[in-house]
Amino acid sequence: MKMNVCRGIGILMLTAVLAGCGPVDGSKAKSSGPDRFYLSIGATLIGELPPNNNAVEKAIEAYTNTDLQIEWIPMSAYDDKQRLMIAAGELPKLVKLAYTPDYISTIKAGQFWELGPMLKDYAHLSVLDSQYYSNISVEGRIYGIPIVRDLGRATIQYRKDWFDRLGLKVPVTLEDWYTVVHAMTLEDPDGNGKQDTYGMVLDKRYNQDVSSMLTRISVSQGGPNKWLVEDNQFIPEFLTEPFFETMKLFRRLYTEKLINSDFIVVDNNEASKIYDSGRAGIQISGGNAQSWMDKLIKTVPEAEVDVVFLAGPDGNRLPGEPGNAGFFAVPKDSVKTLEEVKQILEFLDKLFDPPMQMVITRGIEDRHWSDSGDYAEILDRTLDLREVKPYRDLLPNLAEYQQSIKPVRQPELYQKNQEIGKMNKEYVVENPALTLESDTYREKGKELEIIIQDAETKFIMGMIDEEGWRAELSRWQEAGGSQMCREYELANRSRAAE
Amino acid sequence: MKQNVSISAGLPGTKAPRGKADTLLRDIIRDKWLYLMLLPGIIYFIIFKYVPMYGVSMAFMDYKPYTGFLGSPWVGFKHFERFFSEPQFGMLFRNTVILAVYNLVFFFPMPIILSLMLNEVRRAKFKNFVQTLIYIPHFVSWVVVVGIFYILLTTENGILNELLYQITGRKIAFLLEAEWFRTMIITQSIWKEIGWGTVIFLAALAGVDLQQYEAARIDGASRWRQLWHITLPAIRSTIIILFILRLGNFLDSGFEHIFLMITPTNREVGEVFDTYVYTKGMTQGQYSYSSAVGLFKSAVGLVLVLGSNWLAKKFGEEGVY
Repeated sequence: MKMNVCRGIGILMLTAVLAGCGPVDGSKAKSSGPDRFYLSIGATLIGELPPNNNAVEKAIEAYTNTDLQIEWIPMSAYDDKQRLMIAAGELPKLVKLAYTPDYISTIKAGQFWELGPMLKDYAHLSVLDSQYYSNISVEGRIYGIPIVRDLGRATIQYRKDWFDRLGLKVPVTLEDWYTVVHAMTLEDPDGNGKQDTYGMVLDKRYNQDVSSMLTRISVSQGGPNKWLVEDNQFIPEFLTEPFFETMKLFRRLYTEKLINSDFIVVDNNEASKIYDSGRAGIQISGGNAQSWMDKLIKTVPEAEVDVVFLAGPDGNRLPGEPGNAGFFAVPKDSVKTLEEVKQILEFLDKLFDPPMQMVITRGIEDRHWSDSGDYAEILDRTLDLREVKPYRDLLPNLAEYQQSIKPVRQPELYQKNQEIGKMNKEYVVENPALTLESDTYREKGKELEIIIQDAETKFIMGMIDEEGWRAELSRWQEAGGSQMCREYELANRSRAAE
Repeated sequence: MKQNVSISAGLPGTKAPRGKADTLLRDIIRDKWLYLMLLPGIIYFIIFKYVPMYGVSMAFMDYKPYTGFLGSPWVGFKHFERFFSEPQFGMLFRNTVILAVYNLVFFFPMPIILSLMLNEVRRAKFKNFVQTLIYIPHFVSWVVVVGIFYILLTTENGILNELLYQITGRKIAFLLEAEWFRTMIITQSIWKEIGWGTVIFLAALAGVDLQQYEAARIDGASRWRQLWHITLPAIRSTIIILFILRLGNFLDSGFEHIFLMITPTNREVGEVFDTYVYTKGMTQGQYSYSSAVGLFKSAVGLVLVLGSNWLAKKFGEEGVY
């Protein structure tokens, strides 16, 4: 008897331990028919978590005949978590990746299915602009379906009421930028008698990635987008004249206290708040000016925002962006057969069908939007944010380009911004190194970037002078920068030879 | 004591060299309930501490996620060699060690001092109130702590900086300037953890025999004398044990904390092994290399624990084991 109790406890404990080890199954109370294709997706979430089994997800499942298990991961934690999942080899069947060195190297290691040759069988996937695919290709092969976005998004957004009051013009030259920022900081544009405004506010990511403020202004002044190619010589942007002049502009703004002095510790959200509460006047942004306007009028009802092309002395010029918000790839760990890969592609292809695009971008009729003749009217903005936006952000959407989908009735400013976004395609300056291979970049790219980004910040803050800047440049070159230039040159030459 | 150690190298308490296994088995059968109660703990350690240790072997491979542990080639000490010859190694080592020494010198004594002070408080209600209050910061996450300091210290309408401006007419960029970095880190650590650190010391203090104080008072000892001759000797072994344990984490700088405080202008004093491991392993996917760096850190910690424990025993203290 005693022994039995003993054994019983032992077994009990063992099961408890084993249960703890087993995969945690998100117990879903979903009636998934046996014929439905089970598909797990690793997804980024911006904002609030959509409710379980919501109408949009159900509609997508019904149309594509799938049983979706979407793992929402907050945007800020996504890359770290994804890298861990890749390292552990435990991935969902469909994951969202970004075109960054570490993901590229896992793709090269053969962890994902090559999709390129199969695309021709799918009506929508095969007709997508080839630029979208080439921007995510690895060694010339396609491993993913891009989550399509505009190729050029940067616009100048500014407080029109402030400009009118102070008699300012939209800046074109660097001197104009100085004048505008100077006036809006010191000449009390909001007329409250206090010196409590800034012309421009920077945040700590001001010189990073595609949305780098320095790159955007430098490109508008005739500079290159990250890399300049001259006689097949690769020259980084920070060695070019327009870029250096842009840095000098910010150095001047900083020393004269015309921009926020603590920008290197300011979060992107904090900076936005300053704009949204009517304390800063001009920015270059990839978002829609309407969302700035919407937030602004809550505190400053008479505020007026306008949006124009990013332009310099040579007319409209802006840095080209990859045209995607990442791409979907199919890991070999979780998807074993070609049959299954085809099923997943079929799912993605169906998402481009007009009825699906309608659901992804607008939601369900009479729940999220209603038909009012020429336009679709959004019924409830909050519900839209909760149930539709996550899918709109995550899944490929081309609604703005598809004639069959009724446009939402949007304010004039929104449409103007949208229009500029479409036309921007004509004026983009491409980044010539975007899809080129460099081992140094893959291994040390991040460190090299940090050397230069820190040096830029120190130069702007007056902590180093031109001599110190040149010392940092040679540090960059020795740490692998020169090597990286050479590798890009080689890669570019061999691509040209193909 | 010394003899005892040299005789029973294996299992303390079991004397007979013959039939050791027999005795052990008999012991187990006799005390089966006690051993059974021990079982969950042992299982926990095996599953969550020992089994994952095979991952350390990653430091000696060129680990590729796709090929896994079995398919990745062994490369010996390649990653360690790379680490020690990296131009950044000197900077990382210096920053980590300086921060660790600051931690030992400035942070470690703080909870001791605080608990001695609390121990002197006469009103029990007030003491309990203060104790509860100082535990709270421990449960605040680093993100929030750094956020609070940001609000207080930023040069754009930070409360303390505004105050400083009113008094002295200038502002100090505490969060940006490299020379303030270590001060900020230590101050924040003290603010957050000082209360929690007192828990063990207060427990030790509660165990001090009250009769000793009484006797000392009758002999005319002042409060200082009592502190010096009774209280401190009573908690000395606790202090030493905690000190040794602390040395085991000597090179842990607290990744989250440092990572949140680093800016472009203080990076040359702020970059430590922990942040380097993150940059290499997580953002660049060099798993093997960053495991090697992590392993190096642990090795240093192990050496320090063994060394200090040995030293403590030399001086007649108990040590950790």
